[in-house]
Amino acid sequence: MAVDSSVPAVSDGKDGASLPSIGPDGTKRRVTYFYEPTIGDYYYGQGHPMKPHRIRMAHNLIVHYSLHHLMEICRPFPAAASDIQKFHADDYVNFLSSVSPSFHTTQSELKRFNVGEDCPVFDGIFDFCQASAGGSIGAAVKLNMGASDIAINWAGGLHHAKKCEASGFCYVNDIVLGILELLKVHKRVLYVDIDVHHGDGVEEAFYITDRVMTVSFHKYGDFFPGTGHIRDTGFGPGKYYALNVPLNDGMDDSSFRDLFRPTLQKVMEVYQPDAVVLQCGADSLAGDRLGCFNLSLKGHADCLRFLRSFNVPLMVLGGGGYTIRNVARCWCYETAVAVGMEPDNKLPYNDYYEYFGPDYNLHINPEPMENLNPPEDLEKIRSILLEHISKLQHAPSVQFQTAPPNTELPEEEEEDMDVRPKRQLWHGANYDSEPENDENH
Amino acid sequence: MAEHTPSTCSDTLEVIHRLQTVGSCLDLRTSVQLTCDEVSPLFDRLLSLFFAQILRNQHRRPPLPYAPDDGRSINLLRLFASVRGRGGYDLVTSSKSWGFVAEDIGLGIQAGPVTKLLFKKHLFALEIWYRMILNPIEAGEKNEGVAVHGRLWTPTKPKRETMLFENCDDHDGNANALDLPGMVDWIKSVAVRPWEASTSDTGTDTSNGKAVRADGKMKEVEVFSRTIRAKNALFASTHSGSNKRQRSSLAPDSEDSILSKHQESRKQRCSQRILRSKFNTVLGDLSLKGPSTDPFPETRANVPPWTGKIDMSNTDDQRWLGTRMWPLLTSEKKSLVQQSPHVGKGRHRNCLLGSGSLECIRFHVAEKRLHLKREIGSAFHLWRLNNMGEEVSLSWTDEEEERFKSIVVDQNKNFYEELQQGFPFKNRQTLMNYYFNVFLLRRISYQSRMTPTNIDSDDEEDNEQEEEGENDKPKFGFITSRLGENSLADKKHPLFCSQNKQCVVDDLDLYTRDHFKKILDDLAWGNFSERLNSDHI
Repeated sequence: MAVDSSVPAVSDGKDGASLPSIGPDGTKRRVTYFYEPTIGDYYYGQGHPMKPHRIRMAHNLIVHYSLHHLMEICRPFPAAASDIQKFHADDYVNFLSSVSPSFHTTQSELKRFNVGEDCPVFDGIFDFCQASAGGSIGAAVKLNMGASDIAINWAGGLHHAKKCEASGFCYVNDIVLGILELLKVHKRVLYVDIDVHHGDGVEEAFYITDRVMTVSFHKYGDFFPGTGHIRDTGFGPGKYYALNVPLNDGMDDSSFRDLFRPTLQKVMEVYQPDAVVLQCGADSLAGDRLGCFNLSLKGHADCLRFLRSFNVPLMVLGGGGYTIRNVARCWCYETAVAVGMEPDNKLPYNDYYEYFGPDYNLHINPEPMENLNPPEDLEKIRSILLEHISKLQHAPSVQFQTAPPNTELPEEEEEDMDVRPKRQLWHGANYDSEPENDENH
Repeated sequence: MAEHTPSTCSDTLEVIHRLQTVGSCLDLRTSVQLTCDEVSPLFDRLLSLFFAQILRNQHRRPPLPYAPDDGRSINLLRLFASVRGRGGYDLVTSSKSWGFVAEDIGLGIQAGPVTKLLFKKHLFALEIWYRMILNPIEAGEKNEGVAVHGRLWTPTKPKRETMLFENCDDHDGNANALDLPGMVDWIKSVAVRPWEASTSDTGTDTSNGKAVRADGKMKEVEVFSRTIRAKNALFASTHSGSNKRQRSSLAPDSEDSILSKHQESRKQRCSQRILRSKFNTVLGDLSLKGPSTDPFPETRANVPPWTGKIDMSNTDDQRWLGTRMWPLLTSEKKSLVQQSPHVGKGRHRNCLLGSGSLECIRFHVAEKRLHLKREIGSAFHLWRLNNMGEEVSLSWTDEEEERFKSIVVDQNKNFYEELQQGFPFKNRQTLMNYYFNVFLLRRISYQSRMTPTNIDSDDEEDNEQEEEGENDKPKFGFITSRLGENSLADKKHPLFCSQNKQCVVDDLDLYTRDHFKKILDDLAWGNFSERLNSDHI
C-alpha cells in the first residue's frame, strides 16, 4: 500500500519487545494518518494556550521530511452530532452544535456545560470537534478492519472532555468515541496517557468496566485537573482497571522510561489488550508553556516506540502541548517512529522553518531543572503499581486463557537512555543522523 | 471489673461467631477456651470491622486512644467490659459512676469524664449493636424469626435520614447505615414487576404483613435518595468553599508523604469529579458484599458486554475512512515528476550562502516548496500547503501588512477584536492565518536572532508582560518587514548556493524587491524554473 518499496525502512534497533510482524520487516507497520487540512485555521481566542495551528505545523514538517511516502493519509469524515452522542449527553451535544460567539447563550447554560474561560466558544467550535472526533473514530475503524497496524490522529487526544461538560480545553472526548468504536471488534482495549495532565475524562468514562484499562502518567499535586491519585483504581467490575501514576515536576527521560517500561510491560502481559490507544500529549516535553516535566523528544517518543513493539493494533492521538514549535517537532518525530524511521536531526527547509530557530534542529534539549522525583519515590510508586496490576489476574470477567499468547517478550536491546546529553547547545551528533561537519545553518 | 470481663469475652466470641455464619471475618479463629487476653486482639479486629463495614464509613474510626497521663494505650476491651458490667452507658451515666469505670481501666477515679468521652467515641455504637444482636427483645426487636444476616447488616429500620451524618448519639440504636445492595435489588425487582412490589421482598418477616415490609423498603429508598441529595449538597458546598484538601485523608501515610506534598488547590476549570472520586472511594469500600452500585452512572460511557460476535457487515463504517489524500491515484502519479523521495532527510548541508541569513533560508524554503509541489501534485493543494508559511503574505498589500502589525503591537491585549474592525473585508480565518503563518514567523525569526536564548512562540501578549516589568521577555520586532526587502539592499553578500547551480546570482542589484516578489509569485504557480531559464540563465 502506501509503503514505497524503494525506500529502505530504517531499522533503528530500538524496538523493545518486537515480535515477528505481518510484514517481512519487523520494524514495518502499515500506518494511516488522519489529517484535516483546515484544522490549523481554528483559533481558541487571543491568549489561549491551545492552538490547533500546531497540528498544521506538525503536518508541514511531516510532509517536508517526506514521511508521507511511508503511510496512507486520509482526511477524516466529520463526526455527526448523533455519533458524538454515543458518549456525550444529548443536551450537551445540541448545545455545542448550536453555539457560536455571535449567538448569545444564557450564562446558566455556559456554566452548566463548563464553557467559558478555559473552554471558550470560538468560531467553528463544533466543526473542530467533528474533525477531531471523526479522525479518532476513523482511526478506530481502520484498525477494526485490520487495514492498518497504526492509526494516527494528532487532532485527537482531547482527554478531559466529560460526558456532560467541557473541561481543560476539550469539548468532545474523541478518545472515548474511538475506544467505543474499537470495542465493537476488540474485547479489551488499553488506553495509555502520557500527557502531563491526568486523563480524567477517559478514566471516568471507563471507570467501571474491565473492557478498557486506563493508564495515565501525569503530574499530581496542585495541578489541573486534580484527579489521578495512585489509589484511584476503578470501581465495581472495573476495579484495578484504572492505573494512575502521579509524578512530580522535572521528570526526565530516564526516570520516565524506568517507570513506563516495566509498568506497561506488566500491563501488556497481564491484561493482554487486543488494541492499544496512546495519547501523546506533548505538554510533558521540556519547556512546555503549561507543563512541568522535562522530557526530550526521544524520551517522549520512547513510549510510542515501546508500545509499537508489541505489534498490537495501535491508535496514536495528540492531546496537550502548548509550546507549539516543540509540539510540531514531537508529533513529527513520533510519526517517524510509527513508520519505523529515524529522521535527521537537522530540520528540512519547510514553511515554518523560522519557528524552529535558532538551531533549526528536530530534537530539543532538556531544561536545566531539578527532577523532583527522587528514585526512592519512584521505586515506591513502581511497587504500588505492580501490586495493583497483580490484582488484575483475579478479575473474573476477563478470560485471559482465551487470549492469544501475543506478548511473550524477548530480551530487550536498548540504547542507554540514562546517558544524558551534555548541557550545551545541541551539536547534532547524538541522534544517529549522518555525520555532519558543516556550520550550523 | 474482673467479674464482668468473662461475660463480655464470651459475648464477643458469640458476635464473631454470628458474623462468621454470614461469611464475614472467617479468618478469625475462635474457640470458647480462649482467655480474655486472647480475645483482646479479636475484639480490636471486630471493632475495626464494625467501623468499616457496619457503620460503613459514616463515622470514621477515631485513632486509638492513649492514656492522658503517661501515653499508655488503653485496653478498649476492658473499658467495654467494665461499662457493660455496670449496665451500659446510660446506666453508668445516670449513676455517675464513670470514675469507677476509669479506675477499672487503670486511669484513676479523676479520669471519669475522659473515660466517658472515650467510650462514647469508640464503643458506644458497638454497645448498642451488641445489645441488638445478643438481646433482640431488650433492644426492641420482637420478632425472633428475622434472619441473623438481616440483623447484622441492617439491624434497624432507618427512622431519620439525618442519622448518616450524626454521631452515635442516636439512642434509638440507629447507628447503622442502610442496606444499599439489598435495597438496589429490591428496586430492580420492583422495576421489573411493579405489580408485585409488595411480594417481591425476600425477607423472612411475615408477622407484620407484606405491605408493611414493602413500605419499609419504600422508606429506605426515600431515605437513600434524600441522603444522596444531601451528600451532593454537602459536596457542592465544599466545592464552592474551594481549595479543600481533597485526598490526603484517603491516602495511607506512606504515600501521602510522597504524593501529596503539595496542598491541592483546584483551578476554576476543575470539574466536580474530584469530589465525586472521593465519594467513589468511600463507596468503593462498601463492596464487601459483591457488586454495589455505581454512584455516578451518568458520567460513564455505555460499554456493551463482550459477546464475541463481530459484525463487520456494517457498510456505514466505510464513511469513517474519510477521503484518501495519499497515496495519489495511479493516474496522477504517472504525470508527476518521479524522483526518489528523501524520506527522513534533513536540510542540505553545503549551502555556502552564510550562516542562517534570511534570504538564504527564504530561498531554500521556496525551493523545497517547489520540489514538494512537483512531487505531490494535487496533494499540495489538498493539504493546503499553498496556505502555509510566509507565502500567505503574498495576497496582502504592504499597507495591509503595516496596518496588521501596528494593530497587533498597539492593541496588544485585544488585537483580535481590533483586527476585525481594522480589516472589515477579511474574515477571521484569513486574519488568523496571516497571524500564525506570517506575523508570528517573522517575530520568532527576529527573536531567534536577537534573543536566541529567549524565544516565545506562544505568548500573545508580550507588551503586557513588559509593562509589568518582565523585561527579559523577548522583545517584539521584525528583521525585515517583508520578503527580505531590507536585507536585499545589503549587497555585501553575494547570493550563492552550491545546491542550486542554475541560480547563481552575483549582483543583487539584479533583484529588485518587486522582481523577487514576482519570482515568489511564480513559485506558487510552479513555473519557477522556466522563468529562471528564460530570464537569467
